[in-house]
Amino acid sequence: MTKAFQLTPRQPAAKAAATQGIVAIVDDDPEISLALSLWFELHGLSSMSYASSESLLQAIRHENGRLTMHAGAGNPAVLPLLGAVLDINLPGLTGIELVQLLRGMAPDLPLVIMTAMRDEERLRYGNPPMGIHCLKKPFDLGALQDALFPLLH
Amino acid sequence: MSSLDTRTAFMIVGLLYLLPAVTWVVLEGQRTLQVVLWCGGGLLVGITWILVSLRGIVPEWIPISLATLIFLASHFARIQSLRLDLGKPWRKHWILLAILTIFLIFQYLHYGLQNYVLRAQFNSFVTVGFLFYLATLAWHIGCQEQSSSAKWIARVYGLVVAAGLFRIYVLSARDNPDLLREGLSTQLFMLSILLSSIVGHLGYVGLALDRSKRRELIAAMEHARAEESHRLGAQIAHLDRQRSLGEMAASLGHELNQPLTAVLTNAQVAKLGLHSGHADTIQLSEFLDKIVYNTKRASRIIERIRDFIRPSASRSEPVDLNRIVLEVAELIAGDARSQQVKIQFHPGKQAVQVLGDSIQLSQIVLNILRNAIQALTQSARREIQVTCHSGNGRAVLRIRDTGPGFQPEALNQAGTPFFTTKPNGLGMGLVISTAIAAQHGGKLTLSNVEAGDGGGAIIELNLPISDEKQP
Repeated sequence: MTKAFQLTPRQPAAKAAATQGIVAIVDDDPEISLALSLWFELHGLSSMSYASSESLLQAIRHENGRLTMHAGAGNPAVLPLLGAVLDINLPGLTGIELVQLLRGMAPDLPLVIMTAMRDEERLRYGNPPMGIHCLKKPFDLGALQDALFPLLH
Repeated sequence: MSSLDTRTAFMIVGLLYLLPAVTWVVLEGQRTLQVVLWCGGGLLVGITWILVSLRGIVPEWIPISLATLIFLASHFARIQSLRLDLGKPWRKHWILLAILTIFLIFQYLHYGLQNYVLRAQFNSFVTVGFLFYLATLAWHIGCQEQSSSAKWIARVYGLVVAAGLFRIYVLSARDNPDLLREGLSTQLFMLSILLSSIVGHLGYVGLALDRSKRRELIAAMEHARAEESHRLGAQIAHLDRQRSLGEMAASLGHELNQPLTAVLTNAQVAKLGLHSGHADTIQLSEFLDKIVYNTKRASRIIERIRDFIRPSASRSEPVDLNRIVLEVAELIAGDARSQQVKIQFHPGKQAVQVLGDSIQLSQIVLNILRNAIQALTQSARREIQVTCHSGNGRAVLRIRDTGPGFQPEALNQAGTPFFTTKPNGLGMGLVISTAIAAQHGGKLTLSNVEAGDGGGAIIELNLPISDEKQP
């Protein structure tokens, strides 16, 4: 979990939202994960960053179609996984493979793919399941908000 | 000895002595075996004439036997000199055998048969024969090298031959032929000998100078050719760099997009924080720091690409191999990541300094690393270990991968133009890398890791180390 920046939520609504669950960020570039986690925090969402698909899969638990995870080191609370933003080009399992695995576990989990690759390069990794937004890096955070937020509950 | 007295003989001898010495002095700096033999031969002619002129004063064997031996040696020395020029020298033992045979025949005629007429005629024929041969050799050289100097040597020896034949004709009519005998034929012969000495040696100097001019010309041509091939080599290397980067365009684009994404995200987060009032000044300044950091990261990648693609004359400057590896690793990071290859490199604190062109050396490292990454696509363990160290005046960069290693035929043929094991490879990368290494006074060695140690390929770049400190 990113601890470098702790923004102080000044709205109680944001505080309430922060306790509802966690959004996972999967990107092997810490600069991007960090910036995104701060952005989520500004929107009152807790997030956790993972540098590979495997590290995320290790962190989550699968219980009757629902995915949960620990809130982080030192925090015993188990929170639901609200959604994930993930890169395709990752060490180990690719983002596409991760998306397929997550879909298999929780078909309704909101997912957004972000990649620096052009479409024809991306095809080398295979097509993501239907209905998943694919953002081209660098992207506007507004686009991420539009793609992800309506799906979060 | 009335008209051709001892003094005249000495004068001739003196001149004959002088000219080989002059030739010797003039040709200082280009004294080849040919020059030594030619001047030495001339000197021996002079000695012969001194000995002959001493007839009656010294014991008879000196002017007869010793002078003959020396005279024969002088002929062979000069003939050998010209034959060396033509690239067809006689064998030494054949020369010695010929000298000995002729000498023994001469001795036999003089002391055995005591037939002085026959001895003198034999002597004259041998001398004329040798000089004729010398003239033809000189003419041959003159034609072959288009040297008028050599042709003048041939002409003047031709004159000596003509005078010698005339003398043989005149002497054959007498009972007791004498080498120092007066008469038109002797005077003509002496004159021609004198002329041959003068023209022969001057001509020889001319020939040698012609040659050195030609050598300079050839050297200049070779220099120009070397420069041309050097220039072409640099162009080919440049094309190869462009091709490499072209093939890497996708991953480089990805590498650039990462910091740009970070910049864009941070900027938007900062804006959001500012508008919502959630972020304070310290936090905002940290967002700005992130933006600055990532912008620099992007611009450094652009800088690398630009350096790499820019056509540049090859330079020779102190280069730290550690830095080269780090920079190339940055260029290739995207490729490595997309193939899930881990590049391990832990440079020591000490710079590994070599003298050379940093871009061209980077090219070698890039070629090797790209090859290694491509070799690893089918491997379970995908690692590249890079080490760089110096010792014993050499810098050694070692790149080892955990791939399948080189096939035996690849080990033999890798580095041959257009040999490649890749389906869409050109087979030029290693050729160019080898050429660059050679240009830097080093070499590139390919080998395989022992199967017991996990297998894989090893490429070693070995370069002479530079003592100069980086400015």
